[in-house]
Amino acid sequence: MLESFKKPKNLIFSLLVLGFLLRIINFSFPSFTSDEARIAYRAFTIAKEGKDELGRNLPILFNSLTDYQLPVTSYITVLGVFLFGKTDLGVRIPFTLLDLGILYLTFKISQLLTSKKKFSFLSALVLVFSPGLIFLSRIPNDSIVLTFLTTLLFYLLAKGKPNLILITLVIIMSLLVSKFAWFVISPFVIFTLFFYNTDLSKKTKIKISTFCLLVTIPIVLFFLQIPQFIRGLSENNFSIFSEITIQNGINKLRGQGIDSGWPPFLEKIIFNKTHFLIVGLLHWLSNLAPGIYFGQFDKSGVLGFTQMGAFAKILIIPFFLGLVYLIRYGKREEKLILAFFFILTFPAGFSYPSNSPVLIALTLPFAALVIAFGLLNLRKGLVIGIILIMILEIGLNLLYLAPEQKNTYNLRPNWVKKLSLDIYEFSKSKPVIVSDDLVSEDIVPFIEWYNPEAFEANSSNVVYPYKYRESNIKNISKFNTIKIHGSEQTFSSCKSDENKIFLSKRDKNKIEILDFRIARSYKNDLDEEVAFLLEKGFCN
Amino acid sequence: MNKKGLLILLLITLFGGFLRFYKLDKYPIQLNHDEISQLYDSASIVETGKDIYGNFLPLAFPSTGDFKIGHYIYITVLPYLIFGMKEITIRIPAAFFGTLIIPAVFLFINQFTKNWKLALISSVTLAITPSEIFYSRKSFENVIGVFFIFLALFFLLRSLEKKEKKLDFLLTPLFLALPMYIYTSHTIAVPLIIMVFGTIFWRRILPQYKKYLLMTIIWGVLILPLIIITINNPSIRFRANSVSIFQDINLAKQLQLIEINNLIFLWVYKIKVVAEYSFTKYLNQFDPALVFGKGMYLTNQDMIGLGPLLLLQLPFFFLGILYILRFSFFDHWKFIFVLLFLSMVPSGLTFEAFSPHRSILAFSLMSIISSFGVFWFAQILQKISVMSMKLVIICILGFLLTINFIYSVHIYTVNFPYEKSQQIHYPYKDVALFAWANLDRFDQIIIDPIYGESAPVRAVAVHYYLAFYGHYDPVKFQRDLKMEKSGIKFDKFSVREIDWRKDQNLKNTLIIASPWSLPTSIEASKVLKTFTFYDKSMAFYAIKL
Repeated sequence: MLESFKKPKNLIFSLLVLGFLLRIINFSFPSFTSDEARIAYRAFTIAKEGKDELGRNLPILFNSLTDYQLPVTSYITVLGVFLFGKTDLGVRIPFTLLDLGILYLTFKISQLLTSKKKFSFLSALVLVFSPGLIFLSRIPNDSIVLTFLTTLLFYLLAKGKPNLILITLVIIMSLLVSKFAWFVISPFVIFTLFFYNTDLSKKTKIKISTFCLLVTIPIVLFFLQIPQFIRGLSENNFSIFSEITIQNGINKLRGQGIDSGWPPFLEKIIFNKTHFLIVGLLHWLSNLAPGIYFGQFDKSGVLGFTQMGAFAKILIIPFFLGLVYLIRYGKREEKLILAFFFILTFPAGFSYPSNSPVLIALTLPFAALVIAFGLLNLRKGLVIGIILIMILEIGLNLLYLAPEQKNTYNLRPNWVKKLSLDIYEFSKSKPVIVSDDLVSEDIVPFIEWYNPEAFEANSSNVVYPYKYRESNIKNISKFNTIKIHGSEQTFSSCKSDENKIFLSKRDKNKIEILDFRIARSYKNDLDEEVAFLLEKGFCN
Repeated sequence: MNKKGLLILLLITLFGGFLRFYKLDKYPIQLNHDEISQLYDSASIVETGKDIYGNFLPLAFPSTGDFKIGHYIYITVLPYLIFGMKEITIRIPAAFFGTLIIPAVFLFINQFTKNWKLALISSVTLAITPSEIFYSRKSFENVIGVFFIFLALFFLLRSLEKKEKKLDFLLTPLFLALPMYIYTSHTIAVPLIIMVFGTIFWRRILPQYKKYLLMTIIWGVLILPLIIITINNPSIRFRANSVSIFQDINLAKQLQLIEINNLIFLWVYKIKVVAEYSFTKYLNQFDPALVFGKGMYLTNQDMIGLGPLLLLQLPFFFLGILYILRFSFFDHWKFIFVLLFLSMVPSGLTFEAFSPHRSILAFSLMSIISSFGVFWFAQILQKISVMSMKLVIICILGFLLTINFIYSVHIYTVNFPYEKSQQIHYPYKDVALFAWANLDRFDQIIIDPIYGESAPVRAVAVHYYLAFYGHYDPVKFQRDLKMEKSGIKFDKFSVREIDWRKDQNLKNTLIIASPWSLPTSIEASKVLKTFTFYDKSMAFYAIKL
């Protein structure tokens, strides 16, 4: 029995099964954010009628709350929804499978690096229990897709004779997942080819590298033609240059110096535009700090629990040991793993002040290899101890989800499901008005996703609207409209019973002076009353 | 080391001393609330043996309500006896020991690496490190503790050798015990350092175990009073509790959520959550943006600020790590890294997101590691045969170092007062001087403790400013000081919140109040003087009633 586990195929199969089980425990956690619900609903409408949530036929660029969204993630979700219908399972399963793909590929890559079976086992095991990957494997997101594709690309480029068609396909797909890929894929490909593949001729390496660059340029140029795309790029990927606090800081500190009698030329030497470079550099390194890998992976809370690192905290010990081993004794190609941490994350420097967990996720397979090197150099008893503590941490995370659900009540509202269903039910008989601040982000995707049917799109005149929010949707069964009520709009008292109104606290306070009765109230995950259904008597 | 090396060390120490003592009374521009209270309590101790509240030789001073551990106050007694009641008096101990850290680091690194050139580079790097200079120029006991720790490390390492001196077995435990008394962070870090020392050097310790046993016993005896005091003195425990990680609002919320959920094995999850918060906080202390960019929080401009280390030390810090790992020519190279990791532990146990004042030892060690990078770089440079290229590289580095150093001086001397004058209770010194100058003209003087630039905050040491700048006799101050619910009173002074509706009817009274406590329009004829923050924004009006 034990002998059969020592065979690589059986070993990786067991790890994949274990990984799969860990990923589907409490599979409905976490609830979706507004953008994730939008991707889910979009997948449903595309799978059903080939149109996205805005009524566009198979578009190549999608809408999100903060930016445009490149197409691959949405279309991957379509596959899941196509197979499993309008369910959480359908949305989450493709990403779980991609995550398992990362485990498998890391196992294969570790075999390329060293023939030690223990090393391959440990590197994959570390990823099986990675809280960061477990979290990402349950939600529709670019990070896991791009991580899978870059890991696959590395494997394809590093192993013996590469499959050029597959490499081409992976490069193109990567470029269509996230804008970050536009900046990292070419250097990643070139570096991997020239430092990891010894079988290929220099000529072929140059050919593939040139091809990669040549594919990237037209894709980038194509998207840049879209109105507002450059704005999106500047606001989200190069935010450092539009970040007014840096320039203000330079001006303010320089002004204080001049006020104090320091020579203006010296002030210019001390405070100038090089600060953008310094801030970018420090921000980039800050993204790579151990606190991100083992402390809090995503500071915004979207891609992880509170205080959840990309890896179990105990793994920081083998990680540092792995670093020491690589620097002191590592072979050339082993040492060069460390270079990927920098190659894959450098665009993070331009995204100041936001952190870039998408880019950090790309380095997780490489970090797993470093950790495995560390574990390899520890005594057996210690390795077992570390693994047990790692399992305990993940076990506790998966066991105690209730406090975390409450913690994310605003960003990932679970309570909104019931509200969305009621809104849908009432829309069958009357027009419905809904306050726009019932959740911290956009309420519409939740209404669209958490009910059994599709809605008629309220399409914009612009083909690719930027940061577009729908404000008027209608059930495709020709039910009544659901109108989103903004903060600038007012309610008036009227005798008719034309509308069903779902109010937030903000709007309830607005009409406090008028006579009204609450038919039903809704509590959020913290057990606070946050939404109210009015009986009748209001129009807007 | 030869005489030339000694001379260089002396010059480096003098240079470091210059950076720490030059215009010590001018920068920072005013004594902050900690400094003023420590200074006046020192004076009170010298003159009466009691603090301002009449407590006889307290271990923890109630001071401004924060129960300061009293060592710095007692250490200041000597400078007080020499220099008297001057502002500079309170800053002298930190500047003095801050300067002595430079040769102490030399001793430690020389003993550790047996390379005096490297030790000299470590000393010079430390001499110009911003956090070292900053914390040596204010009354801060941590610096004193760091000095003793480096000295203790030197003696510990020397104790491994057979040629150690006779007194070492006594001095080593003494220098290990002293920092534990001086600063709470060291109380946590020192025992960990001893354990790690024992673990790493056990092969060399074992043959001389009797000696180390004796040293451990002496150390145990020396710290016994500290243990007894900590257990029995609630003031000291209050101080530790008030800064512990349990004061973190987010952690408190998370623990509350766990309670609400009524989970099984609640305590297991609670321990996990607290451990995770603490660990994440600990790791965040190593964030390069904080260490090399903005962690001193001397400006309000986020990343345009100053880190505990110079930005130029960043590449050398990484080079230093590589150098130690790849070419470690000295035994037990791990010790320096473990020291670094341990010295950050106390910061992970406190509520602040980043606490540079608790991590000075860690920054000193980072600075030392960066000096290893400099040393390696110098070796590489020596190998370059093209003289012109060598010169160009040296010139570029020299230029960058000069700019970086001028930048740090600029931030400290120019921007820090502009941006953070509120934090150092500016302009309470001027307020106190003005109040004393007008004492005879009024029946009473009321001073507002509420002030602030962007939001109202409460000043806690106004009575100390008044007593110090009025040269008020400590004996008289102890007698006259009345701490009441309504405020603090002594002589003609009353430090309390202003209720303008009532207070505007007072007669023959001087009210010095901030705009937060006054109506938007005040009759111009009643305003005797205005006080501004350093950036000229309005801080107080002196109103004659």
